[in-house]
Amino acid sequence: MNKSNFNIRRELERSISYVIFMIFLISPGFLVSQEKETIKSRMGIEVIQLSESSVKTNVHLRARVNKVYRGVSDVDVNIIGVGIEEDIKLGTVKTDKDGKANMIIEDISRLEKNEEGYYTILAEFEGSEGYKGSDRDAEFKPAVLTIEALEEDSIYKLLIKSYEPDSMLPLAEQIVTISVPRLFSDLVIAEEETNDEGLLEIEFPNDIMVHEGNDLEITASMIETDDYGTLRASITKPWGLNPVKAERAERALWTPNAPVWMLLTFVGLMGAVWGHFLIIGIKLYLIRKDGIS
Amino acid sequence: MESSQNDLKSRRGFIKLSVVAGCAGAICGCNSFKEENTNSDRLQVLTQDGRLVDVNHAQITPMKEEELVVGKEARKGIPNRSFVMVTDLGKCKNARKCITACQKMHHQPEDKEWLQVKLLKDNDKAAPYWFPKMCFHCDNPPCVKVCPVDATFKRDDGLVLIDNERCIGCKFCMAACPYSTRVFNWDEPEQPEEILSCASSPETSVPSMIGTVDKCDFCPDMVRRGELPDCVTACPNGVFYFGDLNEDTVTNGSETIRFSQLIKDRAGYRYMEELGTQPRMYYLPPRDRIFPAERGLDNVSDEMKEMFKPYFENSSKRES
Amino acid sequence: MRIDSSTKEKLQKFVPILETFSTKWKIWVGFLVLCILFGLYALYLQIVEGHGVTGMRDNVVWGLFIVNFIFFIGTSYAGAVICSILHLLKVDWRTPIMRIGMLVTVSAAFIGPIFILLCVGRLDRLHYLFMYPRLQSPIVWDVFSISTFIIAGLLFLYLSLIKDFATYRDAEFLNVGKFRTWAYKTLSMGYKDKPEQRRQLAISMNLMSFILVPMVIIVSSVLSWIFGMTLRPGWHSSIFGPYFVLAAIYTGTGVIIVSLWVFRKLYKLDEYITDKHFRYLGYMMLALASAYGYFTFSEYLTSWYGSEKWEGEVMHKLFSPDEYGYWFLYANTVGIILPIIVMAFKSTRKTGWIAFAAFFMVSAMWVKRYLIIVPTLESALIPIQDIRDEYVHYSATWVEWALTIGGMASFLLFMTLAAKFVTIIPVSKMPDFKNNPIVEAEKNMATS
Repeated sequence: MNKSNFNIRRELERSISYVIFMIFLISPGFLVSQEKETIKSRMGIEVIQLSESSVKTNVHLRARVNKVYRGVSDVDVNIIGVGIEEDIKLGTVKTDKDGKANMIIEDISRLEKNEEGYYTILAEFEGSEGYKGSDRDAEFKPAVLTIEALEEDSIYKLLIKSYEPDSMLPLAEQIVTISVPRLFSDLVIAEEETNDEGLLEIEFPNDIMVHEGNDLEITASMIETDDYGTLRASITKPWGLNPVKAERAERALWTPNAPVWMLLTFVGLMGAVWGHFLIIGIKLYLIRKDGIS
Repeated sequence: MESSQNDLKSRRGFIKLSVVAGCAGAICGCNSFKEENTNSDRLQVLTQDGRLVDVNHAQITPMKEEELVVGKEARKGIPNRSFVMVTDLGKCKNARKCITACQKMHHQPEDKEWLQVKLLKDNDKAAPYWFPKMCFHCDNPPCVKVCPVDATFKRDDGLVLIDNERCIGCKFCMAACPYSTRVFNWDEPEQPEEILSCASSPETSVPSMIGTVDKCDFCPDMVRRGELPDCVTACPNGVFYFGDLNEDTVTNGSETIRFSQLIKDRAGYRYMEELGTQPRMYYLPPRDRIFPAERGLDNVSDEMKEMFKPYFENSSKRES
Repeated sequence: MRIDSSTKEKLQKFVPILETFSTKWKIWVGFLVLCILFGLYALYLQIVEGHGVTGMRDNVVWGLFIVNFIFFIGTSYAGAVICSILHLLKVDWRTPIMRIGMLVTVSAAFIGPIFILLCVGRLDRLHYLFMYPRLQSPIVWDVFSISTFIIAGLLFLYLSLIKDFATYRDAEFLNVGKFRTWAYKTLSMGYKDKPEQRRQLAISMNLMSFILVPMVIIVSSVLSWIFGMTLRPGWHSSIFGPYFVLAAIYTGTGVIIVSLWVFRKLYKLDEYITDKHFRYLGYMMLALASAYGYFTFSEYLTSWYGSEKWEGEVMHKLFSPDEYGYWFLYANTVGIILPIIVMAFKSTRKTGWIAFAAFFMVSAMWVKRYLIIVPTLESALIPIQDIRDEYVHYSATWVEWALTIGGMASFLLFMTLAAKFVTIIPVSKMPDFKNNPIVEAEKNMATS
């Protein structure tokens, strides 16, 4: 009787302490989740003109956590073409683990230009459970950058032309970067300014290596210009050198398979010794047979 | 193959679980969101679904987007690649960020350094300089030569890796490596449970296993994702350039240059060429230094400072 | 099989040794078993807690274990090579040495490899050595050569025992337990000393001793190549193969001298193991000491004179009194000069002195192996720069010493038990060899 009372009391004590413990644990956590709503996000946008009609929009959504900016992943970002009277929603993209997303807009001409001839594209994040929304726009004037390849007496040349399609005005004295894509980042081959006619003729080195095949994707770009955003044009030419690859050693000291001489020596030596063992084994058998008979 | 995929799945499952556990931690933790209370081993991370959670440092597993490369595939190498590293000795000030980044990435304790920074002084009159050193991934690797069970091997992309499932722990490779690169797991590795239960791959060198050998692997798992090894990106001074020899290009994250040009312009060399090991690590001599070598003493313990003292003593004396 | 009178006489001397187990003997065996258990406990700790319980660390990755490994394997080779050379030359005083020599060979050949297994971090994966062997690895060479050598040693020992087993079987006055009676009967394989049997046995013995000599040279060199094939200062030397062969035979001669002396004292075998045996083995030790001294001098002079950076560092470690200087001195004076001096003077050319010199020479040779392994591993090509002393200097822990003691005890236990199972000198008569030049020369020497 006494014993069961004692047990009940102990159970009771235990559950009360458990409840107190839980309250203690949950309450500050509750406060924290309230605070979480207020984290600001920050939008970044970059516009790359790929041709007369198509434009690539890169967005980067970040938030400041512990004084460090980190990408906000897996949220929707609306891409909107801003017009004078009416905005056109171009689509929605989802950010990746780094908070980045991109969208290629074909037939850019369906957007409205403002009176100075600029297009405006807006990237907008409406906010989510943890973050406040943010947006940013980018204005750019349409421009065209083209790249042509010339081959004269086995000297490689690139001809870059740039102009505004509306007015056919050249993009003079703009820096053009020639680059080829590499495993981790682009390798800049040259950086030079266009002339007054918006032209640039540049020699392309003949010793650029490609890890397989000969095709080299050569990109000319004007990066973050004041009026046109980024312009980019690419061309693929078989101008790359394929590295002379050392033939894979089949039998070396460091390969899985041993050199042949080693194998032969090993087999020879072991054969000689085990051959002797075999002969002696036979002799022992003969001795035994002789003993039994 | 089947089983390795299952392992992969279970590993992913674990990542999710560890994040959930981290969530619980956030709720329980009293004031972990206040910035002044952020202690070093707790960290806020953004989860895949955009939520903010606070987790223990050790619970963060590197997210694997690609499949874990295991078995025979891991022994072949990334096709048509030939990896190479260039270390600019003129830029190193022993900041040791590469070491901590490497340890974090491979879940190694502080006393296990796959990447070390030594203080070298070539002779009495020479000036001391900091010398970061990791596996040189030699083309004529003395360690691979002596391995009795094919546990350490050389791949077509130039990397020398270790299969920890195969290693018998004879330590012969450690004795054979002239650069003392290899590290043995003398005791049960101090790694979190979810790391230890991961599927092992020569490409990740994770998890460590007692009685086997570990070393720097040039992070091929990251390279497959187009990312630079952690030591390269962690270096505040851009000391390390990593890249593909078949593309003749190396990058330290901010600067991408042609390998041949860099070696030509800066008189790049390989350490102890006379050993004939043909390392894949090139060094640029410590000229045009951006820091005095003494600066590197800021980041070492007092005992180490004492040990390094003679390196900075001038051989000439002034009569007093 | 008819037992002739001299065999009978010899065997009768061994009857009390084979038949009875004295209290002293039991205490001795008990002591050895305790030592082995101590070693096994250390082994258990090492397996459960990892190699962190040893003094080995990332720079000095090998320590006492590998020293013991070389020591025992070397000893083992010596027994085999001495016995087979003596047998091939038909030296007639070889008989009492043969049994002890072969027992040393076989027991050391079993103990040695245990020590290399202790260096292996993952004993659970040992079968990988046979599943995925890489022929380029000196360890694989060792695995195959040592296992082949163990079989060769066992075979040679067994061949030399068959006639004795038959004698034990047929001696009515020898009363041993059921087990040994059965064992003698089985192991003698019905040997009745028939002419054909005698011929087959003689051919087998000759064949075995014929291949054992080159085999020991190869196997011993292979052992040295574990070190010689690396790019480490003090190891990467072309002299290492012959150097190890010599060191092995030299050490083994010492071990055989000491064993002969111990068994002679214990079993009062002065009649069979005579001073002449010690003197002859002493001469052999003298010759080997000179040769070994020459090799040592040549090796260290070359390294020291050239004083190439890392070689120079190892030499400095070996010569400087703060590091290994005194041990180096001990290894070379006691290991080389002492046996030469003892054999040089007639007054010290006595059994006791020879055994004394042999014993200390063996200890010095053990130290020498330590000096080959540890200083090189402590001399990393890139400076170690570690404040953790155990990563800079090797010092063995009690676990390693316990296992060393356990290994030594296993060796002694094997010899002790073997001496209970077979007579420690062959009792059956070796066939007479007439017109053997060495026998003649020896006779002439004895008469003059």
